[in-house]
This record gives sequence, C-alpha cells and structure tokens, in this order.
Amino acid sequence: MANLLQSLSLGAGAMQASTYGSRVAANNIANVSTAGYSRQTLLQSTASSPLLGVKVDGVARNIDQSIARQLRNQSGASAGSSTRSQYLGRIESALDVNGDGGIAAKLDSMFAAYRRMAASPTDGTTRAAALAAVGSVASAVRTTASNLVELQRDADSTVNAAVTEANSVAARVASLNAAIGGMGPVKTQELSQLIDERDQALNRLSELVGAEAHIDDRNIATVSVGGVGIVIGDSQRVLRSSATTVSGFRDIVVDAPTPVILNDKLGPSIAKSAIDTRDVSIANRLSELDTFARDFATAANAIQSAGYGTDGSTGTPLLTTGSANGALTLALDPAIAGQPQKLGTSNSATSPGNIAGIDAFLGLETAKVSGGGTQTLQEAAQANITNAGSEAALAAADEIAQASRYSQLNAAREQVSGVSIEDEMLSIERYQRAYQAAARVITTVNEMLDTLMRM
Amino acid sequence: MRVTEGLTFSQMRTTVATAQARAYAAADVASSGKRVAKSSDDPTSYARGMVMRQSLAKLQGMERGGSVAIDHLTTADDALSAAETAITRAREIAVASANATLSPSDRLAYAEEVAGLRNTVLQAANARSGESYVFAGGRVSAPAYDSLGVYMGDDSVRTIEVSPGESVDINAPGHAIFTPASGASAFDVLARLEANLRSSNIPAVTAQLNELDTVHQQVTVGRTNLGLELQRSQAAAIARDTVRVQIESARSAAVDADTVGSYTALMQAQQALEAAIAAAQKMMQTMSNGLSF
Repeated sequence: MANLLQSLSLGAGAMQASTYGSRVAANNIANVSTAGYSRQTLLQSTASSPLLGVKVDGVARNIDQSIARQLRNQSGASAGSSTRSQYLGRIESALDVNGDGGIAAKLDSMFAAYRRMAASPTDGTTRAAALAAVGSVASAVRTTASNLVELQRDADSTVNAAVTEANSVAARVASLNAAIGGMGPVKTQELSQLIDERDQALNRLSELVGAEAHIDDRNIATVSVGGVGIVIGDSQRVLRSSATTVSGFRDIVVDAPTPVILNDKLGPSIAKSAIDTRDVSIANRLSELDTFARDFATAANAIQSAGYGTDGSTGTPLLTTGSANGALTLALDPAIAGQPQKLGTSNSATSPGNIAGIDAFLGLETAKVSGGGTQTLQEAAQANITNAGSEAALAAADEIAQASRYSQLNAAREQVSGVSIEDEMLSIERYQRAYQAAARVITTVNEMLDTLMRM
Repeated sequence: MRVTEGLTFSQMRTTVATAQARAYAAADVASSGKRVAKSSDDPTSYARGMVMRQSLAKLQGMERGGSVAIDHLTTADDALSAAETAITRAREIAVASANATLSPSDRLAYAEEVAGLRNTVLQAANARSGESYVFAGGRVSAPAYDSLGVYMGDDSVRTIEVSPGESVDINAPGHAIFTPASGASAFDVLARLEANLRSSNIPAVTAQLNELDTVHQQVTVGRTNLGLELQRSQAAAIARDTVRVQIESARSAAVDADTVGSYTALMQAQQALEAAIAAAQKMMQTMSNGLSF
C-alpha cells in the first residue's frame, strides 16, 4: 500500500517536471526573435531515495561566457567604427560638397580668370570676373571651414548624448545587479531573463563609452570605463560631459573621487570615435584650412599690394583674414571689394596694359607658398580633400571588417544561445510524451489501489 | 554546427543586404558614369583627376588669351600691311616726282596724296583691337601716337601663355616700328616728303628714298615679327585642342566608368541580388513547411 502511494507521488512529480519542461520550451519559442535572449534548458535529475523519481533543479541559461565577452567588446568596436566612418564621410562631403574638387576647383577657376584678364587687362568685365573668382575661393574656404566647425559641434553633441545614455544604462545595470543578487542561488527563468537584460545593457554600454565588464561567480557585473569603475554591485558613479575652457568642447569626466578625464582612456565606442573625430580628424582638416587661408592671403596680398590698378592705385590688399581662425574669416579686403580697377595687374601707374602683376599672380600656381614652403596652393587644397578621402576610405573598410567580425561573433553566440524552433518543438513533444506516461503511471497505480481496496 | 532560426534569418539578411549594396553601387556607377565620384572611392585616382581638372582649367584660361592674341595680332598685321602699302606708295611718289616733265601743280597733288598716306600710317599706328591700342605698349587705353607723330605709349610688351609651355607677344610698342630711336620716324619722313613735294625740291625728294626704304624696312620687320607670333598663336590653338583631348581622355580613364564594364557589372549585381532573394524565399518556405508538421 505504502509503495503504491509512493508511486502515485513519483508520477505526480514526473508530471510536474514535464509541465515545467514544456513551459521552458514554450518560453524559448516565445522569445525566438527577442534580441539578446539566451535559450533556456530545464535542469532535472533523479530524486534521491526513498522517493526516487525526478526532481527539477532549475533552468540553465545556455551561454558561452567567452563569446559573450568578445561580443560585448566587439559591440563597442563596431559601433565606434561605424560612427567614425559616418563622420569621416561627412568631413569628406564638407570639403568637396559636389565632388567637383571643392576649393581646389575654385583655385583652378581663379587662375583661369586671371589668365583671361592677362589677355584683356583693361577690360572691366574680365577684371570683375577675376576679382569675383578670388572672392569665390575665399567664400569656398569660409563655407568649408564653417561646415567643419558645425560637424565638430555635431560630434560634441554625440559625446554628450552618449554620456547621458550611458548614465541611464549604467543605472539600469546597477539596478539589475541588485535584482540578480537578490534572487539567491536557485536558477530560475526569471533570473535568466534578468541576466539577459543586464547583458544587453552591458553591450550597449560598450557601444556608447567602451565600457568593460567583469562578471563574478554570483553573476554580478562590475563595469569600468577607462579603468575607472562606474558600476560596482548596485552602486553607480555618474559620468559627466564637461565643457573645457580651452576648446569649449566636452570632456568625459568621472569623479573618482577627484575628477578624471576619460577622453583618451575610452575603449572603442561611439563616444571615443566622436571625440577622436572632433579633436583630431576635423581639427586637422581645419588646421590645414587655416594654414591654407593664411598662406593664400599672405602670398596674394604681397603680389597685389605691389601692383598698380588701372586707376593708378597701388598698395591695396586683396584678402583679409582674422587673427586666429584664418579659414573662417578669409574674405576679399573691403578696400578692393567691388572695385576690380584696383587689382594690381600692372607694374606702373601709367601702364594699365602691362601685366607684370598678373604674371606674378599666376606664378602662385607653381610657387611653394603653402605648408611651410612645401606645397603650392592647389597642392594644399587637393591634399586637404585627398587626406580626408583616404581617412574616409580606411574608415569605411574598417567599418566593414568590424561589422563582419561582429556578425561572426553574433553567429557564434546564436549557435550556443539561439532558439531553434525545431529543437523546442521536439522538446515539447518529448515532455508531452513524458507527461502522458506519468499520467498513465498514476492511472495504473490508481487501478491497482482500487483493486486493493475491493479485496 | 547548431542552426537556429535567428542564425538563418541573420544569414539571409546579410546575404540580401550585401547583394543589395553591391547592386546599388553598380547602379550608381552605371547611371552616373563615374567610377570615382568622391575621394574616398579611390583617393589616388581622385587626386589624379583633380590634377587633370587643374590642367583643363588652365587650358580654358589660355583659350581666352589665345583668342585675344589672334585678334590683337591680326589687327596689328592688318595695320602694318596698310602702313607698308602706304610707305611703298610714298616711295613710288618720290621716284615719280623726280621726273622733270612734272609741273609744280602735279607735285602739289603728290604732296596732298603723301599727306593722306601719312594719316594712313598714323591710323595704322593707332590701330585698336577691342578697347586696346595695339602699338601703345602698356598704355593701351590711349592712342599710341598723337597727331604730330609723338609716341604716347611705353615699352611694355604683353606676353601671354597660349598653350602649355608656349607664350607669345601679343603687341609690339609702336615706337620700335614707326619711330625707333636708331632708325627713322615714319611720320617725320612722310612729313618732310610732303614738304619737299610742295616746294618741288627734287634733290631733297630723291635724297629721301633711302629714308623711305628704312621706314619700309622697319615696318616690314615689325610685321614679320608679329606675323610669326600670329602663326604661333594659331598653331597653339591646334596644340591646345590636342592637349585638351589627351587630358580629358586621361582624366576619364582615371575617374570615369567603362560603359560596357559598368553595365555588365550592374547586370551581374542584379542577378546576384535576385538569386539572394530567391534563396531567402526558399529558406523561408522550408522553415514554414517545417512548422506545419
């Protein structure tokens, strides 16, 4: 009698285990398209005597920690590479808006206009065209510089947005750490889903600020950025994006407890790429433009001022630049704007058909007056575009390589943690059969008890 | 290898997206005709394209110079031709007027004709091309000579580049032709001839033949020199066209797409995209069939 009653309990336990297994499989199917979801498997084992039968130990989360760690790091590298590629493409567009050569093409047109003026130095139309062509170069330089500065501000905003979101995500990680720690050692479906959610947040932190994470035996994550812990257990250190007094752009700072600037310490990420683009790539292009603007103004003014206009005037400057950012302020000098007769095309006040001044100006085509005497003006303008183009091409190639690496790691993770509907359907089938068998056991035992009771 | 739905969908998405990107790029090249539209497409080729665009712009600038050079030099040649003819006629008059059978009134008529010839030479020396006086040196805005035959211009010679490496003088200061310091002033010689004819001073007229030869020689030399510049300007126009074709061809080779090649590439990319989509549909169907069991 007692053995039969134990068998009833054993059958009931088996039915419970099958029900749980079906629920786990159904949950897997329900999450087949959930990003970051890790397939769960029912953990069951033989119950200890005297009852025997089956017991449920919990739910296993199928994950390869090594792949997860690599994928987390690769998330940052891919996001950073993509951000960098996008910004460098925009820099290239700013320098060469229509793909027609940008400032270099304007220089070509300017020298062509001076050549036409050499043929008819006293003709008002050709003189006006030449002066307009100089103004067009100055305008192109200003516009390009202005576009680059705007792009720099955009990158700075990206840094700020990345920090804001990173703080929000870090707070979520701290909160999830607390929840995970509070769940105890039993492996449940709820615990697995909390860890999945936390790992997704860690991936996002890697994308945003290149955060690194260490996960301990209790599944609690410690997160650091640039070697400084920003999430330790359930506590968080807030990142700040703080405007510098020098450039006006934002640094990423953490108070640990004294302020530490993290700009150079960040891992590959959106914020790191935005900072590098802002402080290096765009800054370099702007510096090249400033140098070009100052060199152009200096060389052109020296020639222009020495020449005589058709009105006999001399000493009139051609271009003006501000003291600091030459490119943003390059413009026709007010003394000559709208007065093409003052172009210093002659070497004599009384010889307007003399073109010594034009010849000298055309000499700028071959004179190494830019880049510290190493480049012509056109070489400098062309280098500005080709340097940006080369950087953009390398960044685009790197973006593809990083995306491919991310895709490979994601595929590797999917093989371990992904849900296969066929597998889960088979599992449900198996649990259904087990449930039917357990029910049959109970029915049989029940009949046996019934027989026993009738004796 | 464990194949999951996520892995299958990811693979399908990657394959179709890659094929789509290639088809888009191929369509862009085929429709724009540009293999290199921006520097990052191919920095080296783009840089070569920019250098060639610079050369083409330079040629365009030279075209205007070449055109003006031909206008100026043609004007100068026409003017010097007229001056040559006038001086030749003056010499004929000087020879004819020595004939003893001529009356003073005949010589007076010759004198009137010589006065007209002097005006012709003066007009030739003050010839204009557009707004420029071609024999005034750099002082192109005012006549080269006043009515007395005094040079008002200067010594400037305008040299402009008309094709790569080829420059021509598009003017000659008038006083090197009509009134050289080491030669004879055409205007003075003709003025004296007129005066000698009016006074029927035959010996003096005869004595002026050498002067007239000198003036004729000066104008002929000037015309020859400018004629050579005109020839070089005309040859430069042909050279420019040849160079332009060469540069445009080289630039096109650097940055433009091969029409047949780009169309073929587009066809291949389209086929690849269609195959990728068909494969994806097949996979979806297979998975769907699996679920219906």
